[in-house]
Amino acid sequence: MQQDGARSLFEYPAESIFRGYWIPPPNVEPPMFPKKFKDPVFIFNGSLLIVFIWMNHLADRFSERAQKFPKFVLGIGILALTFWMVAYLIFPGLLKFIEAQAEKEEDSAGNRSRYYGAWLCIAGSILMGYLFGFIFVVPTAFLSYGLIPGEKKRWISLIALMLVMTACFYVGFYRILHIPVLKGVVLDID
Amino acid sequence: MVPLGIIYQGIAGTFTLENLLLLLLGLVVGVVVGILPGVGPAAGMVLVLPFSVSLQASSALILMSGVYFASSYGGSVAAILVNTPGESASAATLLDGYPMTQRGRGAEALGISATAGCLGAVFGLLVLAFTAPLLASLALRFGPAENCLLALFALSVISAIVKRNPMKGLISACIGLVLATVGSDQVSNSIRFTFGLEPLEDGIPFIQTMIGLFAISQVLTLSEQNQTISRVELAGSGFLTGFKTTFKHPFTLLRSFIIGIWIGALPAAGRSTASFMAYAEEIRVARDKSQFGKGNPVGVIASEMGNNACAMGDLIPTLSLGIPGSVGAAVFLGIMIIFGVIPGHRVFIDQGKTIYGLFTAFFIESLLILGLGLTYAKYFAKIAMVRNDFIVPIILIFSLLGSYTIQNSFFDLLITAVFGALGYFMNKHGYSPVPLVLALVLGPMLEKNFQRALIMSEGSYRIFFHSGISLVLVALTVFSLGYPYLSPLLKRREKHSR
Amino acid sequence: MYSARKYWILFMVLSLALSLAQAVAAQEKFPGKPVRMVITHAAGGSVDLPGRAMALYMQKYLKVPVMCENMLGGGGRKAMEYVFGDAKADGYTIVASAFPSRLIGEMVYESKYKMKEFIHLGSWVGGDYRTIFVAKNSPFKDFNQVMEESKKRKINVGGGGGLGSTSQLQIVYLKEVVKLNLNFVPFDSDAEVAAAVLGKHLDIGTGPLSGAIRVYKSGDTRILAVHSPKRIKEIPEIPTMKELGFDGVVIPYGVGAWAPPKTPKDRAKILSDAIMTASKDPEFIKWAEKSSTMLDPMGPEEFYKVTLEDYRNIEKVLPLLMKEK
Repeated sequence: MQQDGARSLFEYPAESIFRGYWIPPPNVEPPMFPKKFKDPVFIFNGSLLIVFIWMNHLADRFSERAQKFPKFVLGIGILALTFWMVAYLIFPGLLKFIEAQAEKEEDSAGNRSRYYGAWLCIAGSILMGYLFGFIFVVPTAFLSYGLIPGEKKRWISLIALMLVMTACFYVGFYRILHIPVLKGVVLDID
Repeated sequence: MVPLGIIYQGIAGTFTLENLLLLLLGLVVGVVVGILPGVGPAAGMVLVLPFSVSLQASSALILMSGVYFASSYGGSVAAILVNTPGESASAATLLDGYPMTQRGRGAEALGISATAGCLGAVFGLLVLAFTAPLLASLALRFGPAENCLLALFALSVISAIVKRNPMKGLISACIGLVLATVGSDQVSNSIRFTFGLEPLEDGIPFIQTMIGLFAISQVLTLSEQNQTISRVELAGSGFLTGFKTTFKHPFTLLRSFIIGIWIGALPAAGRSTASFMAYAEEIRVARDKSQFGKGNPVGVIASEMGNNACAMGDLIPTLSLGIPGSVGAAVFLGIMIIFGVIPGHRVFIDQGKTIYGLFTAFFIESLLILGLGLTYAKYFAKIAMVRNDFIVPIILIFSLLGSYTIQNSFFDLLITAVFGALGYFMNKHGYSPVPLVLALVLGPMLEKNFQRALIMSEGSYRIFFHSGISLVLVALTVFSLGYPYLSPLLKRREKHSR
Repeated sequence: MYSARKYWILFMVLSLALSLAQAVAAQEKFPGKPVRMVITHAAGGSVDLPGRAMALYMQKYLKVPVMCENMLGGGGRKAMEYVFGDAKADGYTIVASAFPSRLIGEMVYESKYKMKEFIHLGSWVGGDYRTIFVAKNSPFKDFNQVMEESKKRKINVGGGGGLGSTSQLQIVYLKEVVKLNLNFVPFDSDAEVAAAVLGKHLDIGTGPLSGAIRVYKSGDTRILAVHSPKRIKEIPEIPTMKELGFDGVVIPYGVGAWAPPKTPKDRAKILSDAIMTASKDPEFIKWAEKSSTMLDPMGPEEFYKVTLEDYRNIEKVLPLLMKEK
């Protein structure tokens, strides 16, 4: 069999049927359909619209006085979002007109894996704090963030800072302010 | 009028060694407490309460005043340098303060903050000392209908802010307003949108949300870009530059001062409302609105002046009527009462010595903060240059700490994380957080007073057009909603007719 | 570096040993470590300040610090449920709050805590009854005029505090027992009610005595009546609701402390004694006078009896309170 790049356009459908899934030919532009749906703004607005509609439905169960304001606000939101969806999907020109004044934000190159690493760090710190007591947020935050691949780390000063901060927290919050920092779901030293 | 003798005695009484040391202690505690996100002036004052039990009334109040005053400065420092609101009122400061830091103008922003703050406090004091009873009785004329309209007016300013991208701004505001309705609605006694989560019954906690929206989202952005907060320290931009810049915008100072003092005088609204309204108002009247959110010093001047003027304004109803103008003022009131300073219009005469001693203390504190800033701002601002892998965990830890210690609740940390995600997304895709925050701050005031007014009028909407004040507010609201969109049309017509 | 690591290990072992030692020491004599007072409302408020004041004086007699912790949520429910069920019942955690508001809350919300089962340690603030007040130059000179007017139109009455508070109890009493034709306008705090009354946006306002006295003495308001069993010493000219012909609408208010149900009796006694002694401390009494806080200390047995009595009284009006829900 030839290499992928050298296949002729006719072999793809056959190959696809054989394998049971669609193999996109390399030089064909991906269809407009999925691309539009992958735009994060679209996903956000769409989900928000669904959430608003659902909340509007929930609001029907409130007492009459309590319903008024939320339904009013949700109504405006639903209208605005629907308008946006229609413009985005059907009349892109209209959307460009509305957002004409928006400046293009400079998109500085970000490193996605560092971003996910940051999330792991945040989630890990909260989890450790929850399980073992708030004081454990300090070492977890420093260590897990340091583990994210990146430029050369200064481990010694990092760990030193971490220990100093942990000690300060312990003294400051537990001894002086009497806020429990060693109290978690698993560990409970009071 | 208060006899001059009493005023003089009060001023002189502040200058004892004991009082000055207490003042300093209060300041230090206040700044530290202010920098820690989530720990506000109320907590700080309560912290020093045990120390003050054995003190005389005037000395104890001087100590408390230091905490009350300095915590707002500490909050601004955190907001400007690391995008973490030290308390809810500092949230408006970070909108332009942090971008200034990012562009290497952190020390300048600190300078502006301290200067505007000092001016707000000093002039606020003058207003407080000489016109408090008058302003207090004026403020009383704002009933539920008027307060509702005031909140509506403040929200309507959003239309000017989001002119750049009205759709996303509107969506942002809607999210904020909806979030404001979550929780138990006191007026109608029903619980809304809590999805069965008990901690949400008191509503979405504000500071935790701010911390997530601004600080955590910055943590994510900084990690992603693996940078320090600011890459370069702008030469020639330091604390003194900030000091001078503040004076270059006298009209901003005036407008924000009036807004701050007035919002403070109203018991129903607090410092976050004041600082956001002052900020929003500057955007509304500015010719070039695009620079806001990118490090425009005017934004910092407005929010800081509004915040500090309001801090003094909060004391107007507190001292004259015994009705606290904010949470911090409520603690202050409670402590005043413990020490026998009973508010009312007689307090200026009966307890004149203590009161004027207190004012003198505030005055000294504002000057000290200015001096403190002048000396140390440079060093504070160096935080912006700290390595990414040090600063990010530090910001994260302090943010989580701040969120946690407000109610010792891990649920609040989840809220912070969720809003961190939201804030990151909004920043990346052009949704301004300002309408969301404004809506969250003003939503409750708007709705609750709306419902109260309708109860009082038994369902008639005429109550919103009944008093002179309400008519003025309605007109202002209509004007502020329409003007940003009509004015270019009007200007064009003018040009054509020439 | 090898030697540095040794020092770290030594340091950690030492600190571990120290904390263990402290934990052991705490077992031997009660109290051996700080006592935690959970306060159900926000710092600086009308529940918080009496709580903190008591904590300050209690620690003199307990010889250990009493650390106050504000646990907000659900109008007091969160803290009460926590101390009732989740906190360790070793005598080191107590809760301070207002009564009978927490009792009302328990019954209206069917909450997880039961006031009857808490160990009552004692109360110090008491007699802060609810009042009805108007602005200084209001057309209503006395309460009967208000009743007269209410026959022609609905009276706008303001109150602070939400469902399950003594404020709400007062409004229910006014509506159902006194039969006042009213519109209840709820506010977030008593301070806002006072402001609305002074600004003449409301016809009458309701609020606790301690707050009302202050604004009354400064001349800005007039108190029309007090929901108390007898006339109040400081304002002998103000009639009680009973004298005006309305019986059964006494609304008490106090601040007290409780310990978790399973707290050992000997430890509870030590805590009670500390509270009782503190409430007789002359400096504490001076503080109360200066701050217009009404003291009416009750020992554990008396306090418990009052709770049982409050149960009976509130059960009578419970259906009316639940109607508001």
